[in-house]
Amino acid sequence: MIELVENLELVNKLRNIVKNHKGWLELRYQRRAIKSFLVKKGRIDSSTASFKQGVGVRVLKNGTWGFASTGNLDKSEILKTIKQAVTSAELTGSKKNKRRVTLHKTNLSRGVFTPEVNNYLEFIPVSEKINFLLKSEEYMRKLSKDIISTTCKYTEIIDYKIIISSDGADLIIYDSKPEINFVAVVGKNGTSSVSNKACGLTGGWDDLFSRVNPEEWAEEFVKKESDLNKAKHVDGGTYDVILAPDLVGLLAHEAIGHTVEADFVLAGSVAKHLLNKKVASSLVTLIDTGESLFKPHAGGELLVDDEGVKTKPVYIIKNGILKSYLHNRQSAKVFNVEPTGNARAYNYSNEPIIRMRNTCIAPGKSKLKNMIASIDNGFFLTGGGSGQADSNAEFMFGVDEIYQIKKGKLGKLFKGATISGQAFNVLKSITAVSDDFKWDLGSGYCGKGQMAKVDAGGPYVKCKMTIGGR
Amino acid sequence: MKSNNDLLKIMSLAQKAGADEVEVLSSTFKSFDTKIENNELHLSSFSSGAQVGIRMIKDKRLGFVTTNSLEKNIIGKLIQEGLEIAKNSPSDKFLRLPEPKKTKPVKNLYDPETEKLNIKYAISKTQQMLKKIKKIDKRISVDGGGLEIGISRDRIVNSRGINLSEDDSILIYSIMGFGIDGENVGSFQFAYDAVTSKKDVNIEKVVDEAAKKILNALGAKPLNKTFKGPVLLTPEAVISLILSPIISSVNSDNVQRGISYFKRKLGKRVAPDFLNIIDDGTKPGKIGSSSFDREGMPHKKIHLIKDGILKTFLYNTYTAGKAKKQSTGSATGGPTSIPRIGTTNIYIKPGKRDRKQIIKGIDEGLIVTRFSGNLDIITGDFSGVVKGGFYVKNGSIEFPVTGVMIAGNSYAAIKNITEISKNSKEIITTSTPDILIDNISITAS
Repeated sequence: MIELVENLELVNKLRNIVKNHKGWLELRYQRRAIKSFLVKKGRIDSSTASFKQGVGVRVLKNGTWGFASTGNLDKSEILKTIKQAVTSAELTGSKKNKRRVTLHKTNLSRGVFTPEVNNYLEFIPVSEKINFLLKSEEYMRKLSKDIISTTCKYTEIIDYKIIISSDGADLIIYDSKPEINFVAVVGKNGTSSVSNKACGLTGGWDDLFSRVNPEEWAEEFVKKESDLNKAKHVDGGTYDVILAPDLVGLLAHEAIGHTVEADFVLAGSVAKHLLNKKVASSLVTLIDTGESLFKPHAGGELLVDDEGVKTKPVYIIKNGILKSYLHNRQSAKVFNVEPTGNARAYNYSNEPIIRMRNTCIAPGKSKLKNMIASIDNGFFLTGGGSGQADSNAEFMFGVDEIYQIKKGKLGKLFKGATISGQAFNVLKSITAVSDDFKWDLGSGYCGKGQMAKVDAGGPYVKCKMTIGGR
Repeated sequence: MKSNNDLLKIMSLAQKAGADEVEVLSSTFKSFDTKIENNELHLSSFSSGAQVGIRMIKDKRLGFVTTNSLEKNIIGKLIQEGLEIAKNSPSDKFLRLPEPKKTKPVKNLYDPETEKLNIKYAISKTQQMLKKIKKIDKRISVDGGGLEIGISRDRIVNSRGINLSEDDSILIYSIMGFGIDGENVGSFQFAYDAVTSKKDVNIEKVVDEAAKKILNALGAKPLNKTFKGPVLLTPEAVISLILSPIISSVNSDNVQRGISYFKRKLGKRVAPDFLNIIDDGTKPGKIGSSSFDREGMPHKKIHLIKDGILKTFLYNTYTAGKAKKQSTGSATGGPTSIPRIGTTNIYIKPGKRDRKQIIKGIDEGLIVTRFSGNLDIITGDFSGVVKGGFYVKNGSIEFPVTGVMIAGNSYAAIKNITEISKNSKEIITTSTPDILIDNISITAS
């Protein structure tokens, strides 16, 4: 928080430039400090301290955007960069341009915004962070002779932003996002499996350890491999399944969330014709939220977006009906709705675009135990691997852990496989939603030309799912 | 970073602060780019800057820092942080920086004409791409893509005497989109190209490829059967299912960590005798080329797999030291990270018959143009969805498929490759023919 005073000079410099500019102008200063340590087999494989700062300039001229950025904070350099952005807007806009950009008029945020942080990462010495990794890695490596390879990684991203715009944004944002990523390769007699667990959140050192228990993770890895060794492949087909919160989150983010990003909707995504239509079982309420609903410290927490719009929870699907898309100020104007605070830029050198924050299905009323008991022949799925989804909401996710459910009882582990389907069809097939809730997207990066820290999660749900066989 | 002298100054700062060995590298860049959104040119932007990476070794302990700020006090503070990290890290006797080696300049990596290009050029080329693809078919919706012109100067110095620099230019252009026919929305498709010189820009090639893929994906039907059979992988799918596991397995870091499938296969047969794979970072005018690698070691032509036999692993200075070998010039990465290991321009030698003839020989199977799924790089097990796939029956293409999953094992597939095609395609830093593999599980959903 010392920076707030230290940077008053910079704040005033940016304010003055904006005040003296003719036309609409937005300046975003961002300073990002990253520390990252990676331990493999008892040695530091890599360690990085990174410091990056600069100003992203956005202008709106003749209904067209112009963008430029610079890493140099001199006033003359910022003015030169503004000129480049104006030139780019002038050249991009043409008379044939059918869609002139106008922005939804809204009260933009002013003030200082910080998330809840317990034990600031800046105050934890490097030695403590490195020792934590070395100790965790050693514990994991020595747990079993079947462990072939281990990787333990810690990364922290600490942001400090100033956003000033011609139409009223005047704010300072502090953000702190630590994450931990563990990978183990376990195997014997020529077979092996890769296990990984990750947790990324918004908060401090203590918040991270309220969620991460490295020793538990390591023990799970070893247990899983010994079960997998004996495991068989699933016969491909469509089954009654229980999806764990990690897969529910992945589905909400990848397969539904992207199709309702307003820029994507305008380009013709499958959600284009679905507003106010029934797209899911009435048990389903699907939300994208900047604040951490249901459980604290979601990894994609965002109090104000990069256009200065205060974020609010967006009820994308309410009781099975598609209710809202995700908007920035430009798309909000097109759809004639309030902006939802989904404009995000990863770095100062990226322009703000429509992104998700924390995407989830809201908890329901069922008990997990009863949901499992209701399945005669199906599977319990958890451990989302890589996931991909398409403009038509078709998705494909790798699943690491597949447990059989036979006559209402949880049974043996099967080998990992791929699940796929059309996400809205899966949501329609949901017949129970549990009363649990977990943010569980792992380290939580989403790519869309630029990165964003996001989270996702939910309760356990019961639905129909196609599992690929072999 | 106006000259290598600026890097030498940073190096001496780090030495004064106590580092035993220091490497400083920088990349100074400027770029113009355009972005397409919702069928229109959405934004053009300009950026320029520099990035510096400083690798320090103190008492055989490593510290690495990176910044885009050239302010002396920020760099000084980061050097302290890097040494603090080193102090708290375990020592590692294999840590060392490389000695200088003679490098030979690679031709045509930098086109001075690109210096004259500006945002206007990027905008006009992007608008041409949009116009051309819209003309091909109204059902095409372009949701992304654009053109980027990048010019960069890379410099590296180290305390053992390496002192090098090189200029690069690159033009990347792409189209992403999907087909819309009434309520029928096709799967997401993309096409892209990257060249080092303005005269090689060929937007028609990318437009035609994107349009073809987008329209082909539109009429897709589900496949109503599940079976095991042959799959013809076209170049994008060859990269996913054949090349990427091989690249991972020849990485000496993976070999030393015991997670390479090829760890005990050096000098042994890993594929049929008609498989030849070469990595060559010295090819003139290729995106993956440069006269030196991330650590300043010269690139060279490396036969990875010759007549089906695994010939070598790829090393950087660190892993080479551990294995008591020489670096193969395979350090990759830039000033934002420590050196990793990777390939430069990798290519698979084409075979004898073209795609059409190979398809004629398939009784029942699939053509897979893009694979979207999971591949366990260690065991080679893969499973996932076919994107842009076609069902083949009695030697002819029947229809495009949707919702079909395939599963198998890449290493088993590589060992038992049925055939390699004569036609081959260059994609950025790869060049590969089609590859026919067999015994793949094909599941309808």
